[in-house]
Amino acid sequence: MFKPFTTPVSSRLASSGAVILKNFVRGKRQSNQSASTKKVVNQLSALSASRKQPKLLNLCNEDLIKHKTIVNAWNLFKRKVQQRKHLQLKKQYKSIYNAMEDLKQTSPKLFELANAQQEGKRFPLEMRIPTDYPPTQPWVYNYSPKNKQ
Amino acid sequence: MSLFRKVGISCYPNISNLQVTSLGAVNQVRNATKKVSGSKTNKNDSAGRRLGPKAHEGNFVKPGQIIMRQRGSKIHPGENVKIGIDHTIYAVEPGYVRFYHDPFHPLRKYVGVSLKKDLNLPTPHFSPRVRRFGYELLTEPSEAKKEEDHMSRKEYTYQPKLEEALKAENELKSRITSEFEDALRNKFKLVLNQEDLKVALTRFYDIFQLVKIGKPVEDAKIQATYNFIHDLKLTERRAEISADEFLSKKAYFEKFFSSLDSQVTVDVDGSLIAYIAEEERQSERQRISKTLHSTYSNRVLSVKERKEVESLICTPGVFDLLQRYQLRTKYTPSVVPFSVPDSVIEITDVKNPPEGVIIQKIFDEAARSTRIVGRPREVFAFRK
Amino acid sequence: MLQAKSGVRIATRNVASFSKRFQSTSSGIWTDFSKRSASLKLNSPEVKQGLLHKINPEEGPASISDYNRRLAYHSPEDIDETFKQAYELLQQEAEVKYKEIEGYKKRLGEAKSTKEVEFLKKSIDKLLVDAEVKNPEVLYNVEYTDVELLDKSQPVYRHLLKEKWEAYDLMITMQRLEQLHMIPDTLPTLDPKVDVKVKFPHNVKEEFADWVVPGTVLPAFAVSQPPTIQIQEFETVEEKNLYSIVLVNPDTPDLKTNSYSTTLQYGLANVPLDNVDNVIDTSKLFSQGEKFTFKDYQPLVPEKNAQTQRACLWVFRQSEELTLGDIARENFDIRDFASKNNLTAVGAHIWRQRFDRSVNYVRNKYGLGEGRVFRRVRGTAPVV
Repeated sequence: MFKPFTTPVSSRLASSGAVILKNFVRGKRQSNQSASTKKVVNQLSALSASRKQPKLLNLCNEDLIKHKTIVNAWNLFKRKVQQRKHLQLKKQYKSIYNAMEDLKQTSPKLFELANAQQEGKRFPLEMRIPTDYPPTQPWVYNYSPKNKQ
Repeated sequence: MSLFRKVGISCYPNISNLQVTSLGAVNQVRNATKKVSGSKTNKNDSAGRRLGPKAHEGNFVKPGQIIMRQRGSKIHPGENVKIGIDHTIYAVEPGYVRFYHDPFHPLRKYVGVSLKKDLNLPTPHFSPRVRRFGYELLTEPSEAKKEEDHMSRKEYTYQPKLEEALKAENELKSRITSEFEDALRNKFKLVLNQEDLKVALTRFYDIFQLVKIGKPVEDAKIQATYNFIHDLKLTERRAEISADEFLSKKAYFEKFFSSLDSQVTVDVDGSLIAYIAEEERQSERQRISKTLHSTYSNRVLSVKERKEVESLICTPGVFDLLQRYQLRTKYTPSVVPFSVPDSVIEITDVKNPPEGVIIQKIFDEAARSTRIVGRPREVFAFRK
Repeated sequence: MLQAKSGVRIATRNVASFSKRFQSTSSGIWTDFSKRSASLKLNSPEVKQGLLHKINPEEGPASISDYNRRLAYHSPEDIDETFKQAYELLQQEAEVKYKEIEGYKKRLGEAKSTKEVEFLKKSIDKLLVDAEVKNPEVLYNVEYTDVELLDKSQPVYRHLLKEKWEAYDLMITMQRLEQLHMIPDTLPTLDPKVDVKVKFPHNVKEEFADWVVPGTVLPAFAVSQPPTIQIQEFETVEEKNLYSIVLVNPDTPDLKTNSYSTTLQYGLANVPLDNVDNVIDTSKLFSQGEKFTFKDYQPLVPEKNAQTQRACLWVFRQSEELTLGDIARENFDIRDFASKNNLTAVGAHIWRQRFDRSVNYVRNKYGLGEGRVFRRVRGTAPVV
């Protein structure tokens, strides 16, 4: 049923609708889909979303229990990761707290300074809150801070 | 477009009356009109609809009597009343009208009918409902008989079918019991008096019926004994026998049943067989299973061999219904699996298959394509 | 041509060699039955092989009975490898739980105060549930084998059965109790604690032989003998609890007041039951019935046109042994009975009956005389 992709990538892109639609065409839009594809698209558009769901897998009893067990194990694994992270954060907070307490004891002046409200100071764009994953745009290359302009 | 933006929403009603000056400002023009006669639709004043309560707090009402006429449900229907299509509230039980508030819907007013004069509404949430029976007793015997025999249309139309089923049931019962009687007399040489024989036959028929719906034979025996003792107890309750008689009869028949059970038992297919002890049954089961496995498993069986297997499976008193079914599906399946040796024959000439070989088109998993193979006739149990 | 649709796998490998190759070498806590009960095992060896190791591609999954469907079955990709990892992970977690249980058991041996003992026992039960609740064999047993054959002394089975009960049967029961107004017509309300199931074992027709769904309308012949009652506790019962069971009919016509009265149809008291021994069946009634029964069973026999009547079965947990005097059948006050004897309702069941052609037969059997006949149309006379 499925033919292997033998045509080169560039020619496939050229023939796909996405590229052609970018070029402005005056007059009635001409679809480049074949008649049979159009028919299928029309038929699908008339069906409700629930009918377009993939067919439900008919698993045997053994495989259903296997599936349930895999889900159970995955939940357990995720819970353990979460617990580890939580513990780590707790430790970090505790260590920060201890350091600040230490600072309070040794140099109250520095402690005051460290805790002073910094008014008018915005969060610099260069800095990011630490996250698990990089942002979609990793770095703003043409950025220059305001006060240097 | 620009005009609408300038004038704003206020200009929408009489756009035709607007004049736009050269500077773009808008002036309204009033034409000289004078209404001479009144309008046609301004005279529809209807008479009062006579709404309001028709029965008041504490009044006695009969079923169907209207309590309240209203537009919309100003007052909601409470206990023992109903609401009509035009929100008319009417009583469905005879009793005394009560207007009240319900703690479950604090913003609603309710009207209900309390069945007794001293009862208030709503009835407390956890106390039993007060209900009226309302059906009068038929004292005239002929009238009562007629009413009792009266059938609903559904019951009436089902009568022929019911009679047929009853007839079939009775026929089965008489056939099976006569078979039982025959077996007791000739096969087991039991000499019983008339009453004992009757009891024994009823008991065996009870057991047969219970086993037929899937009850284990031992449970069925207990149930059959219980059925008999229960019936005996009811004869005592009806004062047909005395309490002493009941006890003596009970003891006698319990002993009789145990002696009967030690000689005769009912098989799952409804025939009387000699009693087999549980250990013996187990060993027999193992022996037959072993024979089946060693001689008849994993090969194509001929018609004769199938019959042999069937007779082994149906050895009296050894396997119950479920076990028989399992053994049948294992050793004499309707179509022998492909994995059995010699059940698949490779053929080269599809047009002229060898004698006694049936052509079958199958899907080959490995090659992912259809393939034509031959299968011996014996592979298919129900094919002539 | 079913064979053509299903895949053919011509035997190339020996089945025995297959199962040998796929036996796992790991031996964790879930495969060790020296300390754990054997009832946590999956009994069928074929299903166990398919569940814990790999489904034999030549045989197909053992849980599918049809040969052709079995052959046509394909497991999802990589499910066995993933399952193996998942099983190991969950088993390790269970091992931790069993170690904790060891510690608790040691503490239980040294514990002195009853409060501490109770706490420790509760904790051990909870840990036993946690250790086994994800065991695939246990899950398979609860989901796909006969629930009545499960070992209810295992906390994990009780836990899973309770979840199953709450998800369906309990909801059905509570709906029927409320919608048929058994609550509050008999007792104010119910906090359900046990699963109550009822069946009539004397029935030889399949449609009436099974457990009764709450609220079903049954004919008189189907209820003509005492029911089998199963009371499944989900909490641990160490020594046997005592139970009382009453069956009442709150719809007996009371012509004097033109209302209804309650009749006691059946009464059992001081029935000792626990998690495993949880059923009052024919054999128990036969051997000990007279000890438990304080009111003999009398089925509901609704008279013609007396409408549908409800048979309300209440199960009470007793705090101590009861000594009941003679209790009248007529005008039975169930609320008074429960409060006087210090009974707490833990479960209930209901079925309904109306006049049918077998009522007269049952009336005669119980010596109840001719039934009254009421007018078909309801009158308007008020409640007295």
